[in-house]
Amino acid sequence: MSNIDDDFVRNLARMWHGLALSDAEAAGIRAILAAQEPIAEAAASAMSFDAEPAGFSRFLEADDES
Amino acid sequence: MSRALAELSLVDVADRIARREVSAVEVARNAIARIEALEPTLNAFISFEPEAALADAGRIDTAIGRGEEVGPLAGVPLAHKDMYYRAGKVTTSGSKISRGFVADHDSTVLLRLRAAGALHLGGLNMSEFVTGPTGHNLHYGDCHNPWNPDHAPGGSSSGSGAATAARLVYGAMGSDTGGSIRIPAGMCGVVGLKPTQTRVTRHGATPLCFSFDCCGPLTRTVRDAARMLGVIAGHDPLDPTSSRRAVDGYEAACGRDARGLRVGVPTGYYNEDLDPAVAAMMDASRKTFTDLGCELVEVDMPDHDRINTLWNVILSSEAATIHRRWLRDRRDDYAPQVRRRLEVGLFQPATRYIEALTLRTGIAQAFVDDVFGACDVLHVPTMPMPSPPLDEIAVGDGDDMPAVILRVSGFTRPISFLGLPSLSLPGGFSAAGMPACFQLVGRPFAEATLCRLGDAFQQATDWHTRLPELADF
Repeated sequence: MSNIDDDFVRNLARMWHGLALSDAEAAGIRAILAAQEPIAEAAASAMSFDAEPAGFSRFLEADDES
Repeated sequence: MSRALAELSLVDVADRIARREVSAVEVARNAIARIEALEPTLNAFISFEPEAALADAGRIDTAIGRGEEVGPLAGVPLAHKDMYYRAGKVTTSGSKISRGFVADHDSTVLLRLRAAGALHLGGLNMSEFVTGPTGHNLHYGDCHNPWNPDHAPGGSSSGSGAATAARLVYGAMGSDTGGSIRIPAGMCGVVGLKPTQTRVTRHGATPLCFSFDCCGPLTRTVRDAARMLGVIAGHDPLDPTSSRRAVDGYEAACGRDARGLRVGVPTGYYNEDLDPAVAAMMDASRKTFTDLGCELVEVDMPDHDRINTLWNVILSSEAATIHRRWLRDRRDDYAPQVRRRLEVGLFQPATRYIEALTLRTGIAQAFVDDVFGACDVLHVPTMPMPSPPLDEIAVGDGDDMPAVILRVSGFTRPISFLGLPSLSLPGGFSAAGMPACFQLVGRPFAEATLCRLGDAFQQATDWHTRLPELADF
């Protein structure tokens, strides 16, 4: 479950980005974020302490078909 | 007009021009006539430059006539998704905002194609700012599928798929962030090659998402795609993220026996909610692989809900960063669906974005270890269904938009997240006459293996030779 609601989206849009969202726009964005949050939060629990994004380039270059 | 000339593959027409069996000017005139005949139906082009292409074709013929060395694409008519910069020319990126944008430098990909002798016939229709898998465009009009103009061509490289399938050009550059090469290739029944994440330079190509954007070709045959990839691949100092690995012999891999290759058949995710035509196509193509001497190996798939979610966190965060100023100052100049998908990124916490980037490595490493420990190539559908009618998926920014977009791109996004190369090719048709396509996915930099198996499949089948009825002239 996500605690994100339409007001949070509307306020963040106004305060951070200077955007005035309609009710429908705020609800549409909230729906996408709310569906994402539990899955992303669960995934994040698997992250190791010393991992970092540059590891992906090393992974690509290190792999060898042969 | 010559249908026979238009039906030649890119490799065949290039080789015939080089041998002076046909002139580059004759080939270019034929392509131009076909574009003029079908453009009112397909709306595949945003800009059309026949005079410049004819002038270049004349120079190619003169060079060949003098016995000069010419490149592997000399005289071949191409056109490209309207997102590749050319100094002094307009690049719209399919948008209202960039309608008048004139680049001050050239994209490396187009420079490499030009150095190989390719002709440039214009900028192709695309989804606005590379966003959207259906082929709709509010600003330049929807592009239409040559197999049935009422149906979607796929996106975001919509014009690249439609123009290649209708035999208007012999190949086209697209770009792929979550399926934007493979989906239009799949919906239009042509070959689409998304390379490994860092295999092809992105310098001078409109960005959407730094972590996933890939440049690659759409063609009619695997061998054609191999030739184009051989021209555009390789390190570019102007794109420091491009790999320094040597470029493999992709075209040389075509024609090699596929015997002994292990083809991975996934359990779970890629079998869910398949249209019967796609399920039948997958079964039939696996039978062909068996006949070619390949071994089918069952492989388990990891949790794809997690992969699709993390893909969206990264995509929306990076895309919103690129577009933030315009989202504030020119908000009404975006189509509602494009704006919604970009704006979600304004609400992603930095920690969530960096978590997603960081998690990518472990998920990709585990996928490669588990899946490619058991097989050489993974065989999955490009989409769960053939191309639907355009109006059926014209969802705008409505409540069902995320689900419809995911339904179309749910089999291609994960491969983008993993950074792996993927080759989409046609393997059959639905009862309604729309193409059904599959992907061959490999481990990093295994494009030559994908070309080897894909070409063997096309040598054993004739799906790629089928011609849309409206292009049969």
